[in-house]
Amino acid sequence: MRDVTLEVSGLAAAYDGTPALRDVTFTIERGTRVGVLGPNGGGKTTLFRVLLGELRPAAGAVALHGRCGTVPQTERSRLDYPVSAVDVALMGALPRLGWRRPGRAERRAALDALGTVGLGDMAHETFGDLSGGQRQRVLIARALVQEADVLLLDEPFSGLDDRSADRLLELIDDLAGEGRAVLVATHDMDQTRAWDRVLCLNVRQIAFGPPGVVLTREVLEQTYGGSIVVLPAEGRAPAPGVLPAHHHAHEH
Amino acid sequence: MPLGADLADLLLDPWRSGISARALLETLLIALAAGPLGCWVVLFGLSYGAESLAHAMFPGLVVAALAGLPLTLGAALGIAVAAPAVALAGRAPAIGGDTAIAVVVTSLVGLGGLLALAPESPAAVQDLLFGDVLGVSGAELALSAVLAAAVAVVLGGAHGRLLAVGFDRANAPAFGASPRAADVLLLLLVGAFTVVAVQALGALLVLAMLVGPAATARLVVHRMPAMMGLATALAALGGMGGIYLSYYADTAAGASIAAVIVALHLTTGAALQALKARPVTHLEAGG
Repeated sequence: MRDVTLEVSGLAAAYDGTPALRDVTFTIERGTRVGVLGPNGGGKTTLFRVLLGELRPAAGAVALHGRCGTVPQTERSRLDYPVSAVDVALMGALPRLGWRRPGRAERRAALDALGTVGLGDMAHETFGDLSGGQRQRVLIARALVQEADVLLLDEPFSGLDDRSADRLLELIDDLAGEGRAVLVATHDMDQTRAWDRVLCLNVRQIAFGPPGVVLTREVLEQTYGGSIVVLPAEGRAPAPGVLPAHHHAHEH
Repeated sequence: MPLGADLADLLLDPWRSGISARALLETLLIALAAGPLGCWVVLFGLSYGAESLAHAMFPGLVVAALAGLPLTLGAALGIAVAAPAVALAGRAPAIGGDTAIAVVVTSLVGLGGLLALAPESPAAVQDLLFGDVLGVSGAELALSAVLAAAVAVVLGGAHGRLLAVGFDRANAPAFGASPRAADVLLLLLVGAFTVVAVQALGALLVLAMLVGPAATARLVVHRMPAMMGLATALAALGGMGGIYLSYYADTAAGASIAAVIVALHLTTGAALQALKARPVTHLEAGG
């Protein structure tokens, strides 16, 4: 296989002996956009924690060819914190800086990354003063400073208005165009139709593959435990839609 | 100009007295350590724990005074007992961490009070509680200089990690910053600060210098380096203002310093409120 950046085989994970995820096997190439679907508690965040090395797999193996960067939900960061956008982006340089202070090169990289996400002119704004969509893009810039080859976006669309969501979708396309793999945990199944792969998790892996193959009613029922309703779509054939039960609850 | 000369005399008089000059130097050194460290204490929400630590070391101070040992040694002993007690109490599941810490601190302060009021106690209790910045020795000045330097070096080296942990604890490890290590580092520095500064400011007031200026700076500026700079300046201003107040009003130095620091905080808060209440004349950036 060419340009494989992430291989997961037979992965299982647990918290204090309680199984959270099992039977996860997939391979992702560079430049791939992957939608990660599943209910709350379905294992999306658990998978990301394993990929980041924060949680040791209970079984199976992860082979990462490159670096993994996280883009957490912005609600987890503090809005009353005395940092600018570029301060936050610079945090991406921490792992390679060690005890050194960031220098001109790191500052340059942080400003470039903010430019990439379309925030070049907001670099010196206070992070907490930015809109939700802008904060999300600052956190993406931080992962870019980290030189991440695989980006993990955890529910990046939650709380965004349509315009911010569209900008984020474009940015995800751009990042994949640069050869990065982008994994996006999301509740919005329709978004994932435009991407390259879909991974469905409900404590175990339900399915993985191109959206046209994976997004069947049967797979979605298994993924969301039958809480599927058919939403009437304007001018299109009715497509199965998913109503997540607890949209804002955090996963553990 | 007589007025100018009067003002100069007013400002310089305390410096001409050797005792006050030493006290001013001591408060400036403590301010140098308190400004940056206080900012992290405020941002990490460690004020209550730090305050508990400072109060709970009181019996250590009294024991040192009774035994004729250096106050710094007593403070270190007090912290060595108080820190594990406070840490353990914070985890007490039955009555809640805050309550348990309050019980431990009150018990230790009470114990210190009992010891201090014993007939054989030679020490003036108020010096231990409120400090005696005018009685600071050359060795203590040197210790304060070492503290200021150590705080600057350690916080400088750890700046990026502390910033990442304070920003988002849960995800800081993904950037090589350990929240637990950050907490331990800050508490060690707070412990060292308390031990060194207690001579000047006393067990009850030592935290005023640490938390007050940082809390004020946080109201005004929104970047970490600026906040640290302003907190240091405010701590120095509070320290100097307190010494002047004490020199001219003949009040206790430590208490005067705390009073000026609190006054600076209240004035700043009120001024900001007044500014906010004015009609907005420019559009807020956003979108």
